[in-house]
Amino acid sequence: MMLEDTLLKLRFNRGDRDALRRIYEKYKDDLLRLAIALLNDVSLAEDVVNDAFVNFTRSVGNLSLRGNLKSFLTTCIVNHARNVSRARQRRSTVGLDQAGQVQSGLKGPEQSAVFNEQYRQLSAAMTELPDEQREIVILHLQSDATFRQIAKLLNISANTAKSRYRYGLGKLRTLMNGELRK
Amino acid sequence: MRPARDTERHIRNVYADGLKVTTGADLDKRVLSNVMETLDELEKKESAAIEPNIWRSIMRSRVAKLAAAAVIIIAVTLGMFEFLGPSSIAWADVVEPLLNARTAVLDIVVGSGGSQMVIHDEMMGSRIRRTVSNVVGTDIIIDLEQQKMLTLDHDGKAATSIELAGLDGVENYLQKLQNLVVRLQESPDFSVENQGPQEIDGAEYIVFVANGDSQTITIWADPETAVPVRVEHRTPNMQIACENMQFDVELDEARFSMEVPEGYGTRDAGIDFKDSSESGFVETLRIWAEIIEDGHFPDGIALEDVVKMGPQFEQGMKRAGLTEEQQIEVATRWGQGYVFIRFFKGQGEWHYAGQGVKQGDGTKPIFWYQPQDSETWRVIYGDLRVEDVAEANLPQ
Repeated sequence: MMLEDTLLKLRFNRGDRDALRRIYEKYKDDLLRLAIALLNDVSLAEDVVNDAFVNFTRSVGNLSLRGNLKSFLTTCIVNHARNVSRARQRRSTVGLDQAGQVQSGLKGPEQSAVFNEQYRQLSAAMTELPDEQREIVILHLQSDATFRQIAKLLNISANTAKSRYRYGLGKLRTLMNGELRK
Repeated sequence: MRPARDTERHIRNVYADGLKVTTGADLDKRVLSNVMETLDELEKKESAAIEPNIWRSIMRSRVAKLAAAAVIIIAVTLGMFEFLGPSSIAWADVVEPLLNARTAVLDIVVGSGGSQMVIHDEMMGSRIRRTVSNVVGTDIIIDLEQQKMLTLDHDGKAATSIELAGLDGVENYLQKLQNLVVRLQESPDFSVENQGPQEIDGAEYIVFVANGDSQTITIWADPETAVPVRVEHRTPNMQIACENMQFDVELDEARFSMEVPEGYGTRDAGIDFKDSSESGFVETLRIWAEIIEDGHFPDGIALEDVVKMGPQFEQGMKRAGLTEEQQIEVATRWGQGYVFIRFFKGQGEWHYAGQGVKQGDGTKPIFWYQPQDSETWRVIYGDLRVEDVAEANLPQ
């Protein structure tokens, strides 16, 4: 797997279009899911995936061959999502429950009422978290990133990552329990 | 309040397991269109910038040396298998000193012009101590009787022992030269021409040129003693010259010891010379194009090309950004696959035409050979597929 990614990066650095296409195909779903979780907005998440890949393409010839490709792309998504999140703070958001109206290409998620309700509650709670806590909770619980990996991705210490996670999770518990009591 | 672990599980259930998302066709089309457009723009603006800019440095790490060991192991077998054929009577007086020599010292020059590579051999009976100009800091000791080879990396204080047993054509090295001459002489199209005296570095020599069996051998000999000082050998795949030949020179027997010197660690060669397969060779070609040659097949794949590519091999590994483990794995796979042509078992010669061919170009044949007992040929194309091809349809 790692060797495949290394060779993909090598070929991409030469401007190989097939390698670029393969990288997109390989990671697009995970990255879109991450972007949706970070932004709670399918349309914006798609924009983030698009912009992240365009920026990634600009690294052709200079992409470091040593690092982990998925981590690199994840960092691109997190950074873009953070910028979008800050820029939209004054704008109204479009949630996943409205996704069908704004994003016809999305084939999921499963449209069960239970899932939608759970997702709505969780998303609502997530929006209450500061960006830096939300990113870590999502990276750890959705993308299975370790605190060490997250620390590297976000350029912070592992202890900082852990404590932000703890605070974020605590706040989510409080918010979600309050939501459930309603 | 639900415990923290429950909250974590709940978030995982919703985000990781429940949120099944696949990008739609519209998004795929949009992203791929945008990234390809971006790539086009970048190529137009600065095509040179796409080339990785790390050719300047040469890897000096311990791992690179370990990886390069595969190249060294292949490279240092040069001259051991080139002169095949049955043992027979020596050809004329000029060959006799070669055959009767107890010891010999000579330089084997591979290639021509500015891209020469020199192997310096000291020979005592069936044993050889060898240095190779492009393989710095390494001595190789070969015992053809024991059928073993020992490489000594003096910088890394490491010894690698390689078994040669079971390989065809491993015989006394001096006999190889003799056999070559005999093979030419016995071929139906054999011809020999005495070209008379010629001068090299102010000294005069008698020159014989023999042709036959698609090969040419030229011998420069002392006109007084008939002792050869230079032998030049051309085959379709290689040009080798033996120069500075001296016979019955005093040599220290200790220099031919197969014992690992004190203070040297041992390394696994990782390559089995008896294990030879077409599929392994295809993998070698893939690694050569993908990692060593930056997307194109090399100009040549003969042993002299291998010997000259040492630094390039290291640079390719570095450029690929492979981990230590991957470098060694890739190098070993490359070396193992190369055994296929190094100790070629097909009929006649193999043919290579990969120069300038981009990896993936399925229209261009890059290598073809005829397996033993086969009426058809195997042809490898630029996309590395292999097909059986009738002789009449072979590439020209």
